[in-house]
Amino acid sequence: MINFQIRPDKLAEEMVEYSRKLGQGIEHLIDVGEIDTGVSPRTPVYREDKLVLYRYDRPQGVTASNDTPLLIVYALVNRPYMTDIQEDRSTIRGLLASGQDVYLIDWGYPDSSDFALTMGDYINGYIDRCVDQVCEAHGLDSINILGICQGGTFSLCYTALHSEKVRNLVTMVTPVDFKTPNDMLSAWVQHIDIDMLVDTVGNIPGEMLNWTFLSLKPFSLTGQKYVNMVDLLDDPKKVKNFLRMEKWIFDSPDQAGETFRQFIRDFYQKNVLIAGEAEIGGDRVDLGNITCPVLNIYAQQDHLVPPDASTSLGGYVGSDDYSELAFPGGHIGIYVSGRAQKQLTPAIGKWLNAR
Amino acid sequence: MIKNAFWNDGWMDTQRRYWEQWTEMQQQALGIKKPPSSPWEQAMEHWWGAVQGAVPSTGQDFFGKMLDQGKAFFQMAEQTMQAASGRENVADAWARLLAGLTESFRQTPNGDDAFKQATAFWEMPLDNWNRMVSAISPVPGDVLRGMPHGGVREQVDRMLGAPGLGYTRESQTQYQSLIQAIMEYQEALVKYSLFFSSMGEKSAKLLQERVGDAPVESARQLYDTWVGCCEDVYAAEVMTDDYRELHGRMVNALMKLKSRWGAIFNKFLSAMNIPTRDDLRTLQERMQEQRRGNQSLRAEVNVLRREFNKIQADAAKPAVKQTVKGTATRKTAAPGTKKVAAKKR
Repeated sequence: MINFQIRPDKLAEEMVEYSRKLGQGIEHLIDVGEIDTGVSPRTPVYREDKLVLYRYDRPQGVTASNDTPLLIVYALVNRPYMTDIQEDRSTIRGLLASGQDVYLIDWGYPDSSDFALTMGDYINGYIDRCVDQVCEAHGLDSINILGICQGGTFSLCYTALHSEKVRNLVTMVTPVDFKTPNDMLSAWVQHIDIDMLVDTVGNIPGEMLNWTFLSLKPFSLTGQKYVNMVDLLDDPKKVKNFLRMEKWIFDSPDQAGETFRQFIRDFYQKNVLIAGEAEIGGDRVDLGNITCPVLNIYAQQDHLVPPDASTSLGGYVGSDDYSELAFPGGHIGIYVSGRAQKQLTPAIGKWLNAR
Repeated sequence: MIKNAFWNDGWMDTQRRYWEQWTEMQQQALGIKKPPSSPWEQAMEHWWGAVQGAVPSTGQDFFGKMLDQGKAFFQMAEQTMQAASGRENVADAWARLLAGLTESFRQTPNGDDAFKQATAFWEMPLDNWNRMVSAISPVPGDVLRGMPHGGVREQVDRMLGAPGLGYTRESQTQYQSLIQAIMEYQEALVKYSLFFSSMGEKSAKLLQERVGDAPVESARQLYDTWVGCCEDVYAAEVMTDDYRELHGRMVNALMKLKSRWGAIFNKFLSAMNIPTRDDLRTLQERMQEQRRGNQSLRAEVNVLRREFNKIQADAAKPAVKQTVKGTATRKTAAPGTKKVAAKKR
């Protein structure tokens, strides 16, 4: 028996209420002002092409707990200010509070002059020179690295190829096995002629990436979340937070064509990383070369990088000190949720300080 | 206070009046088949049209989406109510509605029927695709979607199969290839749309199951349940081999079409002695190769410099030490070291 109990008067009431919230919410939208992102003070310490290496200022009252600085390697996809999106939701603030000396690579926005950049140029070039900069500034031979998502994959390749320069490695929501059963992104790219795609469009437009990510959950991400938002329109702070996230979601840099070609063809389509067949700048990447301590963090409800795509790392690294940290949340919640601020960043800090 | 500028009681009253009237009609069970076009929707659009100019650009898209989604879920509820109006049994009416919804998905993706709003919901993934295509193309993303392709295809294939002749043979071939690519893309797009229609049908069936479990008491609940059904069906279907192939075929067909356009544009550019994309690509690759070489040389120079400095420092240490000790032969070493240092400067 179907139990359908929407009364016409209730429906009318609901519509009027929805309209009221929309109408009043527009006031907050008009007053919202600039959508600021990236809240922690920082100083650029190195520039190359479109890349900027930042060092974050140590907050007042926080003493250094770790002499080894931490370099964050973010993905090329989307912008790294996700890690510092607002004052009360900042992975970087949490790491600083745990006594880390934090650096971050901002890749900038590649344009057509960057089309020919390969993964080798990113990993053996940009990342390596940033590591050298940090090492030199601190008079060290090796530093700690925190790689995020695709940046985690890059960090794994980097550590395998330059193991002497990495003291500890932390990977967050990082794809390692690119062909796990629930990997939607992987399923979709298997039949794409990646050479034709890159040869035709050159750099991969950010819009194309947005379309892909929104297609993972099209009804929730392009529809329902806006209906849910109407309930929050009464609160200007929540409106601003929502718009901040919207800004980040649609702030998608184009991807350098050759790097995208290599990443999709070799990693997603051929799954070379776990096969030990990845080649970066002519050198073979063997995850067994990673012998430094590794902390692998994954999100249990990650719809972009399923947990098993990350946790497979444990079977391939050569480190005796490998541990995993499961975060009960999604791919974005791992940076911005209240739980992440309370639990995750202190846990990373503690793990690093102990090594 | 600017509140009244954007939100006035008159508009609210219009809505209330409409809903009172509509409610009355429902209660009197007049059995209307089709309600008037929604004044709520019209009022919303009118109001949004009037105020959107004052909304910062950062918020316009966001607000427009909330408005569109509001329309989507209320229209769905409205249609549900409409289907139930004047019926002896709401459950029967609801069953009829869902059956109609299921049937509507069996029709063409652009079918015009009473359930269009619910079926249009399944256009969202396609709408995302169209937006993306528009963003990376000089033509709107859905430009080919409405064009006929069925019976035309065979005839066009025959025509396009004819070899080019004479002085313009190459040009003819390029245009033939372009038209073929257009046909292929159009076909891929239609198949893709049909796949979504089949998903819509499944989600309607799932909705039928789910609303049987719990009472539906609000438009919002109906909408959320519908979204949940669509999302669950979608998640399962897009992991199938069929979808993987369809997805790949559509992206490949679009790229083929773009590359055929590109080839023709390149020809025009070459004719005007303007560098083509291929020319630029060659330059980009050569430049990057040169930069790699420079970086590599710079790194080697840095290594050599460090080694040299180390050697220099090592050489300086004994010299100082030995000067203190005062041996004649070693004293002579110190000026030599200075000389190298001076040279370096």
